[in-house]
Amino acid sequence: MMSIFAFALINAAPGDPAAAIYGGQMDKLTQEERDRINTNLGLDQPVFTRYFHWMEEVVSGRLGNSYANGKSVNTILAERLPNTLLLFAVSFLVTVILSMALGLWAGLHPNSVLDRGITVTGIVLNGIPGVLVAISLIFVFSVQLGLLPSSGTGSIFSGGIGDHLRHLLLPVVTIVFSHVGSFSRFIQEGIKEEWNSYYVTVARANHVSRGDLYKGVMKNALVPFINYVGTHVPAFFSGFVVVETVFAYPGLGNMIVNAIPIKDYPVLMGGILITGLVVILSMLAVDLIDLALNPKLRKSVTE
Amino acid sequence: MKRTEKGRWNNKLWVILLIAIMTLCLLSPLFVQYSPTEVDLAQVLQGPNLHHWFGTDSIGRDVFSRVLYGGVVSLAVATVTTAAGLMIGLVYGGVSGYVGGKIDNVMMRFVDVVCSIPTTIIVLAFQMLFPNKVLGLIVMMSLTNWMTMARVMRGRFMELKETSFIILAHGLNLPRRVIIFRHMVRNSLSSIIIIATFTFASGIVTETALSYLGVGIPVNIPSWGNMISNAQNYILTGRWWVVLFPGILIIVSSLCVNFSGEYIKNKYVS
Repeated sequence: MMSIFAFALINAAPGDPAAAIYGGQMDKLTQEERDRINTNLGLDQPVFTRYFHWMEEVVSGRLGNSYANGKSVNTILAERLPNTLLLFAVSFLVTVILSMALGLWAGLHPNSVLDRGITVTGIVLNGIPGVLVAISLIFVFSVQLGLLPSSGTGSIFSGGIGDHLRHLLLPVVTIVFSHVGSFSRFIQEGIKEEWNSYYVTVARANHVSRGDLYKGVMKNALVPFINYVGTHVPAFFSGFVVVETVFAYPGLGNMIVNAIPIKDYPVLMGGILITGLVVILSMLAVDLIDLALNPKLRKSVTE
Repeated sequence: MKRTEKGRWNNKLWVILLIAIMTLCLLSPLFVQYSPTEVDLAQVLQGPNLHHWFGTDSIGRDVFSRVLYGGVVSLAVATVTTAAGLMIGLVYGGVSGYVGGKIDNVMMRFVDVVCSIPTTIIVLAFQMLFPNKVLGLIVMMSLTNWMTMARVMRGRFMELKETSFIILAHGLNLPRRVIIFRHMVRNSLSSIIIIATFTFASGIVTETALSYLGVGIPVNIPSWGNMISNAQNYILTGRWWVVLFPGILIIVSSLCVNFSGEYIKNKYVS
């Protein structure tokens, strides 16, 4: 599904791959030379033949070569994918853990400073575009304080893991910033709803200990949260496109953005395909966790 | 009691501020002294001063008039895409909820599929198809913002279908058109308005992000998004004013819309 999508749209796009290969010198090419390039790349065949040919290659694990520098797309993706996965894993975990801590605390302490603060902060954080968060972070930490690098990733070989983490810090903070508000609000509201529900009132009337009550309420509030988190996985990857570009972080999003103006189709298709794959796998993983924790859902599946 | 009163007043303030920004942008041709696209190479990268209130950018264009003019463009894009997305969502969700059954099931699965695609990437890729970038941006943004609306409308319609007054209306043999538009859509109005405000807010954010990436509004038309597209360079070289003013306006107007939405939500829902 995703593959047809990726292929169809990119083939419909105007632009000549010859332009990607020869760049500025394109004007000097004769028609004959252009034809030769197109034949070499198999572009003289009809779209369907090319799609099936491409699919065949994809299934057997070859994504073709970049028009721009001739490198195999597999190699390029292999360089980029770990960076994006690392960014995703770290920012996702930090967001979830942080928002769980904030949301639970706020929900269990109604009318505390945090409880009131989270509602407003949630709206504020949600409303500020990631681009501006990223730019402000660069301004404060890279320009004014000179503490953190504003772009790239450190090389593991020369700078060690510490350097790598330093480069990862600002992108992660940006992503966490734009999601933590709405996430913690979701938990906070869930807890409050559970707390006001009938079973809690009955349990409290029957002297169930506070600890047990908290445990039950938390569990019931967290189940819908897992589902909510799952639906936000695509939004994380949308965010990466922007964040990776701002920080020149060599991940998939940055690669896709760079491939667009030069019409490097194999790279684009590979990038979109692999992003789609990662998103679907992550959502599947979240669904499985949901299944493991939610007895109601488990019952409906097994029956 | 006092706190909620104060809260309401604060929220009203956001609505007023939003209207003020919109009016200021729309009326800007009446009072700005410089054209937003006029290049003046003698006045490159001037800091804020009496002539250029917000300074000038790297080819000497007046930032103040660009911010206001860009506001018209950005807010117009958000308005048009919100309207279009709402229409799609309204029709799609309405049909799905009204018809129900298997068709509803298939239609909702399709929404799930569309939701699982990272929007920015798809808009990025599709933008290449359109020779006219402005039109392309509007079409693509409208095609990716209707899902929430569709889901909510479906829920509303399913709920309303079971209410006694709709059943009664069917029994009275009122024409379907009347039932759907006069009764069902009208009774969903509060949800529609709430979703509209949040879609509008995310429209501003999306336009910013895409124009920043260079695939949104083309550079010859100023918009809030493409004004910050060279932000890093300006910031690293200390030309903060080129970025700061559009940045502030983006944040303030986005917050205004979000808080207004919150205000409307609290007013209607609880």
